[in-house]
Amino acid sequence: MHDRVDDRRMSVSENNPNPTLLSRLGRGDADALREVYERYADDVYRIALRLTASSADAYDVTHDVFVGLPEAMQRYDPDRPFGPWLRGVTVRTSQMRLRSVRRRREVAVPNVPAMAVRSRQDAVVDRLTLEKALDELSPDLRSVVVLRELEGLSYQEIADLLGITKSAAAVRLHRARRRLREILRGNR
Amino acid sequence: MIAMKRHPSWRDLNRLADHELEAGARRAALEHVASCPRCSGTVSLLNDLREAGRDMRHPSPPKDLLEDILRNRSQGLRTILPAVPPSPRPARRFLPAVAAAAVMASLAGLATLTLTSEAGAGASELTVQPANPMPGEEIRLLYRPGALLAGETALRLRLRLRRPETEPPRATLGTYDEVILSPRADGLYVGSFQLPPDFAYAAMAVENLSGDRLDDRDGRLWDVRAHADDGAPLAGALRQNFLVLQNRSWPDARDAVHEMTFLYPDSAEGWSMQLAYDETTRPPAEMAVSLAGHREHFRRLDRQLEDAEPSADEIAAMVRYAQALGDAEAFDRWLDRLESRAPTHRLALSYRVAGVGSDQVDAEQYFETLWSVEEHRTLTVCRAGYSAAEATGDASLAQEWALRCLPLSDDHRFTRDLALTLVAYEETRERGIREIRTLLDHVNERPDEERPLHETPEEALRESRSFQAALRVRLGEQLLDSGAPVSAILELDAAEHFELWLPDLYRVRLEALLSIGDEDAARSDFHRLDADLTYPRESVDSLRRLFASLTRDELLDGRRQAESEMIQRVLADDMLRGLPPANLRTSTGQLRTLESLLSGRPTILLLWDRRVFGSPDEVANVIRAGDLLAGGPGQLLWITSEPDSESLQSFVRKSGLDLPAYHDRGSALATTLGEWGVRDYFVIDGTGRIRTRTHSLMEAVRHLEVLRLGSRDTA
Repeated sequence: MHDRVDDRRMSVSENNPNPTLLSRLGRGDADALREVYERYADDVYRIALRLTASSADAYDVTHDVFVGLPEAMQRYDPDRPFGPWLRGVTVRTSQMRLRSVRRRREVAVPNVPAMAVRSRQDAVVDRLTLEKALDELSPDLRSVVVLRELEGLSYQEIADLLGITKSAAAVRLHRARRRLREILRGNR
Repeated sequence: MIAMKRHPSWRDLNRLADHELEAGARRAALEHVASCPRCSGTVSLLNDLREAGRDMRHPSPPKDLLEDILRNRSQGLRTILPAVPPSPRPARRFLPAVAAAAVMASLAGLATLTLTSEAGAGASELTVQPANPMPGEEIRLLYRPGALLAGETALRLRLRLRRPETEPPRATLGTYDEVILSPRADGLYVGSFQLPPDFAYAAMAVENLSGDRLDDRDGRLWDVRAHADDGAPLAGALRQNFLVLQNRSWPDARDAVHEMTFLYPDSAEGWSMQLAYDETTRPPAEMAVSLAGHREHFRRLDRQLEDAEPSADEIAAMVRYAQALGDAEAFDRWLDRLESRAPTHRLALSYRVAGVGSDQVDAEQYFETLWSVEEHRTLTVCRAGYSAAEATGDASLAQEWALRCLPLSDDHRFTRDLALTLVAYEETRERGIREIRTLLDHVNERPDEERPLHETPEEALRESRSFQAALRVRLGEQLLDSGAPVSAILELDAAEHFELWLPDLYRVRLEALLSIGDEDAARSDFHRLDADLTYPRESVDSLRRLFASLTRDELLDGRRQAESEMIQRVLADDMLRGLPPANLRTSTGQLRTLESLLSGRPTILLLWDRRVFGSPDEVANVIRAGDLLAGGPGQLLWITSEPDSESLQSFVRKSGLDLPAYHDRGSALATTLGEWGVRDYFVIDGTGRIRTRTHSLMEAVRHLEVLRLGSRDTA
């Protein structure tokens, strides 16, 4: 068994942007917003898409995050890295979106990118099955699975992002996987 | 290598797949998995989940999104983004167990929970095995002492065990028990304890057998929670965890309540507590978003519980939730339900007490009706009935309830209040005095198990002396008011024997002595009041007119003698502790060290959060303290765990506080100082040492003044 967490880490740069850029962003400077968008939009959109499983919702989440970003900078602590903070904002915004949108859905719509070809013939789970199963999870459970399995975050990083303890993150993840196992067994 | 004979738990298989299992347990689990088809299938499934996740493509946002964003912003569109919780959280930490404990855990197939203290006791550690114990289970406790308790022949671990429904935050609440920890060759102290079947949460402290050295984890206490068989903490444990921690550490309290709403989303109690927490910690803009979510949760719970049979505590939680959300209709509906289902529930009683102002007769009738039923004649009902009677201002009613409660009271402070109520009225005075004398005779005989976990016996004795002295002063005051000055003087002289500095004693005795014409004896108390900076100057001036015959030299000599006595008594119990280093944030966002803010000046640290109940009432005292210290070397330093915000600035402007607030991020300094969330004042001398801590700001001001007088006399 190999640890594959590190090689799947988010590509959001851990090097903070220039403080001047962030300062301009906080003042609502459109050029600064454009620059930050070009650097981080892929990551914000990808997380939103994975959490909401809907390109329309991911579009809205990314839109809302960047529209609100200059004002939200008042709550950003410049002593901490910007990328993880933005990741946290995105997760929270996605969760809020998911909670409000999910009730409106009658049928799960796995509107996700095209799937790659499976490499392991004997695998129990393929991506399509996983996507369908993920869609049956509650927003909270879905979040931990996405952050762990898709984004490769550690228990502690998940805990920090969701504002819970490390043990709660672990328990939540274990419950999510238990639920996924039940769903997958039902599907097979 | 030792293979596990039983199947690893689901949790351990997850940790194994996530590489979060400790080395010993991991080796054993791997060996088991290699020979167990069932467990290897589970691990394969977990790995497949990860593989499936890896295969996903990295999409890019649509090309028109940026232009959409810029256009919408230029047209004035704004969104309020949710807050990201601060991280990391410093207080509660799950650390790798010490090596010996880890080996033991791997042999036994157990996980461990290790808590550490970060200062004061010198990085001690308490490890609980198993880490997630269930009610009724035996736990093993491994304590690694810091410098404070190392080398003892044995240690005593004191516990207070709470059930799910125990009502904190009284420090002595919960069933007391203790465990003797025996030393091992590796320096650890070990013991075991059988958790009771109704166990939810325990707070703990470790001390040496003589009790003169105590490790209470810097005031936070050690703790352990009850868990279900899947490793999740029980709802009752989280409830106790939150209720206890909200006065000790805001971040820990937040963690507990978030765990509760996540793990038990159908628990009204969790949501109502989270709303209470949100209201005190979130900025207004976020609170608007948060309230919308809470209203949705409330509607859902309202529907779910309407035809169900929730417990009295759940109904009470719905009452609190409805009130906090301002839903009057739901509040009345749920309160009616609570009163009909559990008329003696604490919440039902407290609303009746609060209702005295609007409908006194109705409140009186409610309590009288309860009291007429034998099974309702409990201390809880009696306390509420007495409080309601006090609130009515009807003396005979208060006396009647005091007489009802006295035989039930198990709390010396409550007994004191009841007895003083009786002393205030002629017809019951004799009974009241008898009760107070009995209390004074026996207050030192209280069993050690009533001692709060965070107090050494010596500290408890000091507290007891202070209690007795203050009670004698109160009794003396009542006796004077009732026309018995000689009896009053005898009580006050008895209070004087404790050799504490008590301005109230001097004031009452001075009045009593003057009332019997003993002006010479009264003069000493006048000098004492004159010497005390915190005693109102206008009162001193009017008293001075009564002693007009005193010469200037007599006044000065008398005052100087009184000052010497004050210095000796006030400094008798100085702690002389070092002050931990800390970084604090100014309103402009700059970081300053605590040392630089002290700059060698004698200082009162105001660890004071306006969101804590009762704190805003203290503003007048803070302003007065600032006035008293003006022009002298002493200063006030306001430290708060609340970040700077427009709301805080507005509060400062409106309240007239003329001092800057320094933000203590994550309550780091407060936690290190063992401050439990209530307002607290620390007196720091010019060399940066803590001289005392107190809940009374005027006491702190007096202490600072005494330090100045002491250094003047030395010079």
